[in-house]
Amino acid sequence: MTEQEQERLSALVDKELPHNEITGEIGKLLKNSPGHEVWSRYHLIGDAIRQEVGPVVDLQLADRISKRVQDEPVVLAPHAMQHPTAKWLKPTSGLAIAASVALLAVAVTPRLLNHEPANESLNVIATNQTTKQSTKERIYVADDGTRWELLSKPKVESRLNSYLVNHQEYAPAGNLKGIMPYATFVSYDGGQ
Amino acid sequence: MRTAVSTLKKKSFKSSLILLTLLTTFTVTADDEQTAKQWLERMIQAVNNLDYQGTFIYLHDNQLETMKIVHAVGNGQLQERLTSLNGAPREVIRDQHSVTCVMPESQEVSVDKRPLSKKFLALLPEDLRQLDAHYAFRWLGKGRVAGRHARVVAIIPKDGYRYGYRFFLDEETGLPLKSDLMNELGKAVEQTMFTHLEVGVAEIDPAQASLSGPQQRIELTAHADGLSHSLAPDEGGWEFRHLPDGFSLTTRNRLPNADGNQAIEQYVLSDGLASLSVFVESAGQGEAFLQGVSRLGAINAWGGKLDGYQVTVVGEVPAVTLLGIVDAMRLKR
Repeated sequence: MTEQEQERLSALVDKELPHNEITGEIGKLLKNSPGHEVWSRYHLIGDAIRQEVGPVVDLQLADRISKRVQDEPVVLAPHAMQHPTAKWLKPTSGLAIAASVALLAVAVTPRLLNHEPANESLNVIATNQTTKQSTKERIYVADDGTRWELLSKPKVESRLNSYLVNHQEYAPAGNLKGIMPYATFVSYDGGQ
Repeated sequence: MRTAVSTLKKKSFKSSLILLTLLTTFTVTADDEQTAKQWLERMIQAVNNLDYQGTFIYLHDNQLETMKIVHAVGNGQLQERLTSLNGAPREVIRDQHSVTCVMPESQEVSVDKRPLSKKFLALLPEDLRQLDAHYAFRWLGKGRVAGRHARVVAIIPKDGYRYGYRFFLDEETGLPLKSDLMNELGKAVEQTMFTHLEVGVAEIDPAQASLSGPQQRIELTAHADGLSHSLAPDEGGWEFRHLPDGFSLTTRNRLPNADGNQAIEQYVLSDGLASLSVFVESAGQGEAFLQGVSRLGAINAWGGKLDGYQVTVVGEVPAVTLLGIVDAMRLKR
């Protein structure tokens, strides 16, 4: 930095620059990394003169904060995960929404309560899956001790549990997490 | 002229800058991918080979629960126990020979006896490389869980037919201190996180379920012969055509039904990480079967009738994958 630059920086720190020059000077400072250090030092000198220096003085604080921020784990961005999904989900969900509107219009709600959708086309079944969101409250009211969503039939649950335990033993992801996948099974639905 | 040259120079500078950025990005990604895989390999080793016990919280569908886990590998003999600490006590005990589920509130103890070696589709560290077609591996930095320093890695699905994972792995041991299962929309559908973990310690009494007691262990409903049989590739009444991308049939079994007859066919389909099972049986009159869809945490299920048979599909995959699998099923003529 030239002596002149240092003087202008000092004036900036001491709030002695004309008002109309402050923005320009800050702009220059932002682009000038040796300037950052000088700016910090001037502040420290000022603070020391005014006896305002705290017990810890850390000139690299800004650097360390930026570094820590970089090191922080990145939260998986929902957007990033949504992107690949969107391209194949679109047709199905479009269909599902249209169909669910139709379903609501004719109020065929019993259909959603697992009453024999057998032999229906898969699209309609997929629709049930989507549409259940809108009828969730009604379905939950009837539940008594059920853990599987949309079910209140202990015998069916028991069968599903046995299938699930059976399946877990073959699941490659089970090896990834040991006995952890059984947490689903061991879990107790306290909301019931 | 000077302007043209200068523009050209600027352009070439710009393109080299872009190229450099691309190269740098690529290098970073490849490194990240490598680091993530190395940590996941370490995790698989740690989860299966270390002695550990601890308490973890389990979050799904806005339900928060506490569970205790003990994992012992004394003399190469695996013993595991998972116990719920809130609500109705439930427990799963697993060893080399069986999986026992104790569910006192339904007065049920079910025991599934099959040798583990035959059952496991073990995901080995080297298998991670085969997942590249459908998953990306990411190194996400550092974190801290249960007072321990952690490395954060993610397995991100490349389409919506499978779930993703995010693990906070113990720097010291590689054990997963926190695991998040992410659904097809990138939202965590199931999370487990240790609040306390002891490594190198596993206090387990294999002879007894910690919840056992006269009022709790009432009935033993084991399968009549307790055995399932693997089927040869040409056995089994069903075949699968045009499966969802990446999925293939990995195992066929014949299982006993409630009467002890080998009457249920099981087909396990997997992409190497995600998996689901299709159970096919004759649809008996008055028997209780799932009809439609259901869900338990991250597990989806579908049940219905196909060509006169009762079909039930269960797996930790998006519902759309289950339906794709059902759509691919054909009864062999």
